[in-house]
Amino acid sequence: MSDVIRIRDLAWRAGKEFAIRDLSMTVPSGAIYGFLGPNGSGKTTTIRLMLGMLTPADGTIEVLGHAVPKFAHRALARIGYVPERLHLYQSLTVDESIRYHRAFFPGFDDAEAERLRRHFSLREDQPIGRLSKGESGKLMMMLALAQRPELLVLDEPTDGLDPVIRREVLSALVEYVEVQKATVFISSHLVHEQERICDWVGVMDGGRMVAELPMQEFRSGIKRLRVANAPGTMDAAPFALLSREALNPQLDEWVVRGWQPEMREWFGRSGAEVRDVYDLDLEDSFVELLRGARATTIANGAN
Amino acid sequence: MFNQILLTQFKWTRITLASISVVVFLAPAAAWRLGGSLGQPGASAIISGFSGIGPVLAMFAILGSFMLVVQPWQMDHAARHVYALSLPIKWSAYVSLRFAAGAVTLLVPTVALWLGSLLVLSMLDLPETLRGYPGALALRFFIAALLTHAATFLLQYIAGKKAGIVVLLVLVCVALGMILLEATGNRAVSEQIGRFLVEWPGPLSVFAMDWKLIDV
Repeated sequence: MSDVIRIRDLAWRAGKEFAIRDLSMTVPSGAIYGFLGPNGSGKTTTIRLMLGMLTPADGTIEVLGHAVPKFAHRALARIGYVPERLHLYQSLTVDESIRYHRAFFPGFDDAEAERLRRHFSLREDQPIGRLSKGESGKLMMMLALAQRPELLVLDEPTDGLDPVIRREVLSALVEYVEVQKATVFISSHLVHEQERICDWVGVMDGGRMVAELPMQEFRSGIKRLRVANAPGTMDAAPFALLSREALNPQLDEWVVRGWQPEMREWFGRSGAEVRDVYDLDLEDSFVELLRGARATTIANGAN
Repeated sequence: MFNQILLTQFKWTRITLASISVVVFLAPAAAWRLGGSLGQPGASAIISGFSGIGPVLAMFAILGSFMLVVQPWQMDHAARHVYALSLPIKWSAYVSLRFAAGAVTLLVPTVALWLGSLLVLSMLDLPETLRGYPGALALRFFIAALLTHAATFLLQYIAGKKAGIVVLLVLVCVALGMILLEATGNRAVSEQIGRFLVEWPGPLSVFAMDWKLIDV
């Protein structure tokens, strides 16, 4: 399976406040890749770097086999992009916007655009500036899907939409992916929404990639453990410790990533015992991942 | 692709375009009336009137083409240029197409001025010694507008929303330079620079030289 997006050691800086640091990411072909992270973590900036809208200070970006930003225009011809905010010209009508968009994308499917326009109940003569947030979201999704792209890049596509419209937009997306076998890169901070549709997850925080793993692993590999007589050091631990907290002098609570039942032996070797193992739901896993990453960053900064 | 960019250019600037076109279409007639009110008959009235209307035409060429750049740029800027940057076309190609579309729209007031000039000339019986130059006047208007369009476009797309500050800085530098030259007794240098700019073939000569519809 080839990779549709491959980013290595990406760096970018905006003033003193915000930076993308050492970001590497791989999106396999055909994946629905959920790009998770809290607000302000750098998701939109990463997407803009990925599409050639910003120039990286360091690192390499390859999208659909094209080096970005140098050949971003070639990659963009095969990408359907839906940004977090309406980016279309507000003075145009829906119909004018379709015609404008079509002129730039040779593979634009008129019949599909018309079908989606009707499906989304968008009137041809509606001025874009007067569309509601939901209608704007549907129009952007419609244009992106009618391009028949190999890769869809969606930046918070359902943020602020009501549940009915959100479902309409997501079902149109899923239908397209099923038929076209396209790759989807979808950024969001809505963890449960990602859980429903994604098969890969990348988690970003503070301009860094905290974790990148298959959804199945994300869903089942992060556990909360109750550990009696917990060891002080983590020598050769077969899992990643995200956080630890002493409940009392004899009992610790650990949150670990990559947990497998046979790893109990590792505790046994140091005289500790795993009393209980709890499953975390996706949102808790996400929060623990972020907490672990932030603790590591602080510890590295202190050293 | 260019057709669509041109269509948006027309849509965004249609009010400015229509206003300038009406003004420049009426300019030759206004010159005739202005000269006539000063007691000059026929062709002499137009010659006399153009001494007042000519600078107005130059001003409209500058102001109009400035607006024709700024309005489309603001449309892109409203979405922080995200749409333009997400299109599968090099940024340089996109900017070139926008520039070309702006240049094409300048033809509308140019044609309006040409038609207005032809109309006025058709109502005159020119003496043997005089000739009307409606085409040359319209071409001059187009070149002046195109020059302004190019300069404004370059500034707007390089400096972005800081374009106003850049213009202000340039004007301050020019003013300071002139004051310095005057203060150090180098007035001849500033005059030489001025002449270089506004006398043919200086870059601003198209604005400064006489705008005439009728000449010997």
